[in-house]
Amino acid sequence: MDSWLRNRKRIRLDIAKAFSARSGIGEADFMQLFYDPAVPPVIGDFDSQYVSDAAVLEEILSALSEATGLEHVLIRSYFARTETFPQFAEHLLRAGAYSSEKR
Amino acid sequence: MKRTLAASFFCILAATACRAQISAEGALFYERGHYWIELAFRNEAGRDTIPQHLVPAAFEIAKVGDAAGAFKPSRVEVVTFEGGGSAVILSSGKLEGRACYRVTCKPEGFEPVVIDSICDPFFFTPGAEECGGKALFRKYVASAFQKDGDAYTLNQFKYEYDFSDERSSSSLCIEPRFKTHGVAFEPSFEQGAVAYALGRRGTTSTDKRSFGFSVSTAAWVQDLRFGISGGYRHDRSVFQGTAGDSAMYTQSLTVEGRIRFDNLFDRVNRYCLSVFKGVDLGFGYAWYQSDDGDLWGSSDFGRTTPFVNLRATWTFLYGFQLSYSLRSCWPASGDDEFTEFHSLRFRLLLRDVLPAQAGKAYHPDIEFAFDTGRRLPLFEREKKVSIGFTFELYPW
Repeated sequence: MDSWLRNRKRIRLDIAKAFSARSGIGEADFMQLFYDPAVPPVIGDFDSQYVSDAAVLEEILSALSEATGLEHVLIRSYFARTETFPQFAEHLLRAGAYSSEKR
Repeated sequence: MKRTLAASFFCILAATACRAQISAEGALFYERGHYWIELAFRNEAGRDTIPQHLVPAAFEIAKVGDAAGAFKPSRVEVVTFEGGGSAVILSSGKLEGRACYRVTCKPEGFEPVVIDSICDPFFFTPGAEECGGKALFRKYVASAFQKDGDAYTLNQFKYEYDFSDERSSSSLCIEPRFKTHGVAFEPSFEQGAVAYALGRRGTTSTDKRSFGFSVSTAAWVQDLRFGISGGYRHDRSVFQGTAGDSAMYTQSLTVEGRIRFDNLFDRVNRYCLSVFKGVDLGFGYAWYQSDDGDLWGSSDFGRTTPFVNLRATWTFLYGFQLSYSLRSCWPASGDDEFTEFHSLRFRLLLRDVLPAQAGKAYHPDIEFAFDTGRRLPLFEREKKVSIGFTFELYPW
């Protein structure tokens, strides 16, 4: 068994890093605006404001795939514009993010 | 040190048993078909600790806002993780998803601890506030475009009314993207009608069909994204004239290097109010040829031109998006020494604000477009002003 508290903190940082490194928003601003509010904006808000094209989004998801050990296709399947980033993170954790490190 | 001594002094004065302070944080999570609560405790020094003799009676769990429905966990388990560290896991059949819980813990030898809000990430706070820009856009702009009842019946991806020629036009563009080993392959097919202003020859409309493909790769070097691409494009344009239609076939090969600067706008971007993205600059070279009658023409791409591309998108007040691109060419042959093509797009981002229409994934955006100038491969003067609904398949 792994700590969900620890994994949630870890995936929060990984998501902030992946999304801010390839768009016009700093890591701290990303967390403050899109991850940490009691009611965060939906992913669609970030997507339409900061993601310049589909290629950049694919690169972001690839970076996330590397960080979490999940398949790119699986990460993409959980990326929904109508959900929030913490919900996206939760999908990834439930799908087994970081679990490959223990094998 | 002074504070500890003072606290000890007050304890003696009050003749009470002073208990150590402890802090805790928690997570509600879903695993093996059930919801659980994980608690991590820290002592006054900020170190991980597990209080002794934790039993279900030491805990009380209640949904936030429903203190009357408080319950005890059925089981309390101390677990040690493989990567180090330990935590307390509370289990109960009463734990549910999409909820927030308040946990009160009275560990032996410590002051009681209350963890106010342990939430499932899928819990939605009722009456959530939205940022000012989005509220303004949703209430006063997007609502004007809301259509109740019937769904839009457009089959095309894009439908426009062309003011410059007082005619409607439609265009279909399909550009699936395949990526393997860091290289993207993008075939494209586009069909549409565009009105051309041909200077002294008046105005005519042109039906255009294009297909092509591009191969590209890109890499990030710190904050900048460097990309290189190569592409082939074949266009068939049918000019409608009084003497009959005439067809023109053109082909072009391009290579382009591109630098993207989005990250440099970190500090000036203000979410909801003003955000820049897709800011990039490209330098390239094109080989092209045109033919009046033959579908494939000759294989000699004898005409060449270097070109520069500049693009940027600015979103303000959440839903107003302005995109501009400039493409400048310096043809090595022909009458023109320098040409430029300006493309301005003003889009209302309705799809995240208005509810999706029946049978559609989301509400379409509305886009105003203004194109003017001369561009590859014909370098004819073009001008188009249009408004359209855009069902964008991006990102998938």
